[in-house]
Amino acid sequence: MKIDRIVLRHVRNFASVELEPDGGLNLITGPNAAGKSNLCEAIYYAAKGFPLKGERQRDLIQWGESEALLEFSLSGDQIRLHLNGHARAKTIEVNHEKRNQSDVSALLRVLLFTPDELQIIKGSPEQRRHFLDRSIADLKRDYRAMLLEYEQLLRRKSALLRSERPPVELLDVYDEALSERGAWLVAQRRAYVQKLNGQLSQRYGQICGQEAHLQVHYETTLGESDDLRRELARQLAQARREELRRQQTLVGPHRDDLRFDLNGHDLRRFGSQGEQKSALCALLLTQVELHYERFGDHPILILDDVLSELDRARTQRLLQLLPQNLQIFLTHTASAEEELPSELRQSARRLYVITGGRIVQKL
Amino acid sequence: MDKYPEPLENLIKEFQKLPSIGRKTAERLAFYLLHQPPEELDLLSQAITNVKEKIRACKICFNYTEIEHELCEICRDPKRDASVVCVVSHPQELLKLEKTREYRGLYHVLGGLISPVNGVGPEQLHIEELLVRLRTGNVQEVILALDPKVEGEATAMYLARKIKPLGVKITQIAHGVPVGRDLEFADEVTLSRALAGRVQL
Ligand SMILES: Nc1ncnc2c1ncn2[C@@H]1O[C@H](COP(=O)(O)OP(=O)(O)O)[C@@H](O)[C@H]1O
Ligand SMILES: [Mg+2]
Ligand SMILES: [Zn+2]
Repeated sequence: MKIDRIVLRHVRNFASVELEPDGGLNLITGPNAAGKSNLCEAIYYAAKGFPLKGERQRDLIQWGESEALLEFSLSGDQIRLHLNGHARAKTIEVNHEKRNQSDVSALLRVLLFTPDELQIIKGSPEQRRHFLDRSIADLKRDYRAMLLEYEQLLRRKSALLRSERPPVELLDVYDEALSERGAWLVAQRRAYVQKLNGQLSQRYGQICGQEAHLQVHYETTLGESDDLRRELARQLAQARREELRRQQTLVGPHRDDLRFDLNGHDLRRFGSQGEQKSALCALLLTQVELHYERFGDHPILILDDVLSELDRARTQRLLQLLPQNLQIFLTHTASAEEELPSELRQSARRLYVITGGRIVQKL
Repeated sequence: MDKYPEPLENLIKEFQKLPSIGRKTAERLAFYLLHQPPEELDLLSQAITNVKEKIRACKICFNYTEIEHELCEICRDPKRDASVVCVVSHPQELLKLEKTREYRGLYHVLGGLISPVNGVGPEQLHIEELLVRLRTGNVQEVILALDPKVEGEATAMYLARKIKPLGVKITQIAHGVPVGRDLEFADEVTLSRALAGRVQL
């Protein structure tokens, strides 16, 4: 899968840009606030149908403008997204026919990593859950819808717990609905973590050149239970009194966490910076591979400012290990072209320099 | 002058209180009325007064009815099948179902859906009245025709729990079309799994 052409009009700080990226490594550089992340976001948005950080879609429209246009050509297919800020409407066309987001998402599959995503080892449980959810949603179409339902139900139950004397039957209703969806989510998460574990150690070895055992542990209160739904229902019933007392939901997948173990030791607590970075690279490689296994085609890989998290040498190694026919958009902040790491410059098949919303192709 | 004369300003303010009417539309409506003949305006103000004074809720099903009737048109109709009750959240939905002319039973209007986030619990709805109706009458089947989104689902599940012990058969209409396009730039993934009648009652 590869994007042959991108046209953005009135998108974020781009008044009008057109580019014809290479099918391999596209290096995007420029000073801070130039628009590098905005370019990444535009591609991500087209693929997913929602902006990166839960912002409103009309925030994508350039300030002072009322409409935005995003066009992508992919091996013969034309994707065209038109945002109208006044009408708060979005029109989607594929090959000049009205289509919906799922048609676009099927054509344009993207894996994106930013320093935020790379907080999964050092960061908070919430960041890890978020990463897990996004990764599964990339592979499984109904995951996000199910997660949203679960979260909606959870909000309602929380409100109920905070209300005065919540009716027992109603709490039962929410717990039933939550255990149905919660169990499904846990099953998906479990299966996904298992898939990761099938490859992580090998990838880690490729990155560092030495054998190691890297595993992700999915930490859920549901443990190893076979009947997840029953087990979650049971735990919810058991937690009821405490939930009422604390006016807070206490069990379910929204409290799950992940733990990375390197050779049997918690990577977050005991791993060196270098080991953590290598683990992130291993994870990234694994995800690219899982994506390929699932769809029989490579995704488009967006690496926004990841050098700060992964360091130069590892990024270079990563680029060598990634499949040759993978289209990559890699951004790196540099105020002058000369500041670019030389090895990165050499690997790049195309070089774009962005300044203040203008893009110049240098290679 | 930064304001219109008071009577006009008042009218504009009243219009603005209506859902989805902003200042501009309110002004347009007010000026439109100002240019209508007095008879037309009388009709309008009569209609507004009547809507509250001449309408009340049906004593049995809480559908709207004229003030002189205790029961609505449907509950009064002896040809309707009194052994089936279809539960809806609002009278608007009742009307939608009626327009299909498929259904010949009676209704029960809840007056909303259970929504803890908005402080709506079972006691704010006509649920107790429904249960009384089922306990005392000869209703054999209850059909739930509630919105397929989370509020509707929770309400349906709650009702099912309350109704089951009464030994009345309970079913749910199939939800084909996903609803919920009210979100800004509604995200269709949210709606794709249209919760389509997946509650087991
Ligand atoms: N809707 C918008 N219209 C115009 N400019 C925007 C809009 N949204 C963000 N920006 C600007 O884009 C710039 C950030 O670009 P970004 O791509 O994040 O920079 P970087 O190159 O550092 O990744 C900021 O200066 C911000 O003010
Ligand atoms: Mg950036
Ligand atoms: Zn009636």
